[in-house]
Amino acid sequence: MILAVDRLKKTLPGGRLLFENLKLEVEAGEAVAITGESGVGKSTLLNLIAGLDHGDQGDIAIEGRDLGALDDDQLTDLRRDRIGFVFQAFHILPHLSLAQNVALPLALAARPDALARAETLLEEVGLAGRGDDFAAQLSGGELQRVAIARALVHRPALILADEPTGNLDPETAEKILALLLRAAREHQAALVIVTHSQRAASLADRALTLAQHGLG
Amino acid sequence: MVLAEPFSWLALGEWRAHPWRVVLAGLAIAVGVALGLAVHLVNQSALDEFARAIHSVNGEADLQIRSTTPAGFDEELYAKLARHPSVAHISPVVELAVTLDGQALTLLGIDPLRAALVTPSLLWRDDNVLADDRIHLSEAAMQGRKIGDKFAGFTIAGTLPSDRAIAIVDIAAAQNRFGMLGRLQRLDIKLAAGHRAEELRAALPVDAAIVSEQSEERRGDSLSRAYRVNLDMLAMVALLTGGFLVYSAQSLSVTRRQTHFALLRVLGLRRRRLLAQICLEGGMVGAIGAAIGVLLGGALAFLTLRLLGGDLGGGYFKSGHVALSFHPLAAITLFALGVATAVAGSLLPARLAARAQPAVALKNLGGDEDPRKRPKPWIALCLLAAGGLLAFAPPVWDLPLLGYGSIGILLAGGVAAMPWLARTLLAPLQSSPNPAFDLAAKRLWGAPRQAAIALSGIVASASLTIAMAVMVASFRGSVDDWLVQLLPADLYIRVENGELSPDLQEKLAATPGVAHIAFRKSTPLRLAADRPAVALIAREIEGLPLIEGSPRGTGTPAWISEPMQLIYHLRPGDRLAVPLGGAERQLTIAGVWRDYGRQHGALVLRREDYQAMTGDLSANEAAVDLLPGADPGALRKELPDNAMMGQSAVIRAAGLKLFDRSFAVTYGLEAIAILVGLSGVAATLSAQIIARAKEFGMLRHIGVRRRQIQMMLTLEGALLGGLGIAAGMGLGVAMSQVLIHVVNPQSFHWTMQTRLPWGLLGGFAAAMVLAATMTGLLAGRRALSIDAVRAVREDW
Repeated sequence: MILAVDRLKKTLPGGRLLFENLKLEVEAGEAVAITGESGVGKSTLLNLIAGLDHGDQGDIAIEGRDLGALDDDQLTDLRRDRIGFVFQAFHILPHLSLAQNVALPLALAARPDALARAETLLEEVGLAGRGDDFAAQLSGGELQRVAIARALVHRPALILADEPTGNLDPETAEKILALLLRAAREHQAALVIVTHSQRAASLADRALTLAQHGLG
Repeated sequence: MVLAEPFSWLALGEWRAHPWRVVLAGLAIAVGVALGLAVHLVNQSALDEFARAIHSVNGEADLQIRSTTPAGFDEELYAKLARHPSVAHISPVVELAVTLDGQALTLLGIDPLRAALVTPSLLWRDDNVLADDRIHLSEAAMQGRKIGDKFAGFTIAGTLPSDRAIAIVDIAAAQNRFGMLGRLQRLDIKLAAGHRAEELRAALPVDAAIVSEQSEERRGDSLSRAYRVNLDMLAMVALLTGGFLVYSAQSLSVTRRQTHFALLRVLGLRRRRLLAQICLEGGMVGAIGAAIGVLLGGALAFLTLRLLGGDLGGGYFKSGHVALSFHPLAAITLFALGVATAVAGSLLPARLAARAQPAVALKNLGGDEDPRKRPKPWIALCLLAAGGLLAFAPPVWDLPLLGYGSIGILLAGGVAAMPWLARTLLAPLQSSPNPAFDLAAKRLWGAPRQAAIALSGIVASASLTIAMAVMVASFRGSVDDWLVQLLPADLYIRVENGELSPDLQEKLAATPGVAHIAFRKSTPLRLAADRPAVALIAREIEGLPLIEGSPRGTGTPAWISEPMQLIYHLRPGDRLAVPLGGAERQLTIAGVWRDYGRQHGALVLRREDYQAMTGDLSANEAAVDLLPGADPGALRKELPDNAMMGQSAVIRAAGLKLFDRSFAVTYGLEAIAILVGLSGVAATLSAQIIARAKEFGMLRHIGVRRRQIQMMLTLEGALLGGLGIAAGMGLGVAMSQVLIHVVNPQSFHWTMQTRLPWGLLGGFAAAMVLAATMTGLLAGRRALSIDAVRAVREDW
């Protein structure tokens, strides 16, 4: 089991209950899509899984490690080594080359092969030879390909994708989604996608809807 | 590569994207370091020159016995000490400040046979060493003359390798020629092995004291120490302002890169490493700037010494040529200070970035604050209170170090108060019918921390400038009042390196046109070996600008100057023993008078008391009242060549000119600090406005006119300038009180009354507000030149 969420409860600072008693388990190589209305807490759930936020109750474990038992530095290292992220807004740093952007997780871990591995991943997502380019020279679809390469470069156990196709046209979105799912499966990573897109949900192995009482 | 990947990528990427911001911050540090190092090197070189000069006049004696007044001590002491078991060799010296053939120089009269054993460097190679018509001049005193030329009745027989104006003659010739028969000013001594200087103390008369080269150097150091430390501190103001510029640049950079840092945190960058990354970026900018600053500072010091000599306006070092002494420790210290300032400027923005919640920051595209959050004033109030309390602390090592600390903490408190102050002062402006004004006021009110970043530069440079301006105006006004009070007569006469004999005094008093003439005698009096001599003035008491008096006590009354009161911790009514006329005299302090002319203290005696104690009837100063319509030319004709005569108005104007000259370097350093501060303000405001291009694009989309946005930004600039100058004015006046009532009395031992130069302050405030307004206008134009559609597009 890569991800195990049990009896998770989260309320907002004002006291509004987002969800409670939430359970979720994701295996290696499995893709789970989470849908739900705006404001229901989909992104908050991803933040909780990534150790960027704290729940009120319940447990989250990644590869058997209980996040509640880890301090800020250990959570940071866990994200660096075992989790990949894909965002709706791409978040490609404009002053770094594409290869440097992709290599970031490995460079943060002081891996000497960071740039070479980044070039390999760029090739894998269809951007071979573009490592020295910058974000300003790329389209939205290409930027998201770079983000996917970055999410996979350090061979994570878990990939968290927050609306990965939200900023793309339908045709590009379809291609990006296919790439993300294929790459996650090939790397045997567990994939959790938060999305509004029914099409994206239908391509995942499982599609769950988030509500106050949990995932259904 | 200094930084490990990916930090080098991030730093270099940022510097490539905004090179001018980095250059400006680096330059600010470079200017601060350069000024600090240059001022320090010039002062230190002058001090080294002073030490060399002491050595060139004193030779290589183990110690000296010096007279406490220029009148010298009885030469009997020479014979007495020559027999003392502590003394191996002894050489008698007449040392006089004289003017010969219109040239001021130090004249040494020595016994060559004795000097050969104690101070051989004072000797010359000559076949007629004992001839009493020969004189030896130092290279600085030759002034184009040749060996064999006549000079003041002597024949020049040789030269000495010294760049001080020194003349050496036979001791007997000196005593005969200059009225010093039976008197000596100095005994140079080589101690016998195993003996100490202290063993001689009991054998000394009251008008002689033991002086070592170390105590002479300490005296030279204390002569100008306060002035040098003040200049050092002022140079540090430029560095401090540079630190604010780094703070502004880093704050903006961090705000703009908020999502970058949030992404790095999400991807696995630890908080402490992010903090280190930002501080390291600032530190590297500081290191490059500081390295350039060290080179510039060395060059600036070299040029200053070459063009202006070693005196930076204080008038302490009069030697013409001063060679640059490079002090590597000073260069390393200034370099480290530059780097530390840049790191300190980065620390606060770095902490804010590291403490941000990554998930929240990643979604926050603009980095705006929550307008509902009201900034708290407590930290600022604590700092202001601590700064205020520190101002009451006593001096450390005779320097107002805690006073400077107080100013620094007050400044930090003032800057820290800006978010709260901006919010409070802008609250009443929240419902203007003018949309441009309304938008401008709401933006600053809702984002007071952003406003505070821009304001910190204005507040820092404005408050420091205003503090200095108020202090200088107060000082100048007090000096002006003092000169008016001190110079009531029509004319004043002063004789340099000479005197007015009793006969000449009678002749002058009888000169046609002279209604009244009061003669005075001013002479240096050493009260401590390692302190500069005080001025002993024998004169009339009427017209002395008294600030404190006491009921008449017993003993001879003396009136001390304010610096003497503070240096020697004396009060009216106290008794003071001074060596005068070969005996120790008990004086009673009858009052304290204001004196801005002699920083190391002055002591006034009634002339008749002085004459009774010393038998000295000569004078070297006079105050003259003329009959109406009388021509001062008749008086001039009677005076010797080395006498100067001036009207009181001219002397007063010259005094104020001298005051302004001595503050010229101060003004220069201050102007540079203002320029650094203003460029920081302009850079910060511009960057903040340009970073809001997206907001302006949105406003254009919903129908706000280009002109209205332009007006909004201009008003924002004006409001920021107004707020900054209001806060800077309050803070500056508070800081000026520390300068006036703490730093000045502790440094220079004089007090003054506060005067606010309203015209200057008004002009400065208007210039600052105008500069901020113009910055808003120009940066707004640039921001609006970006296409509205492109501006609202996501920039990722």
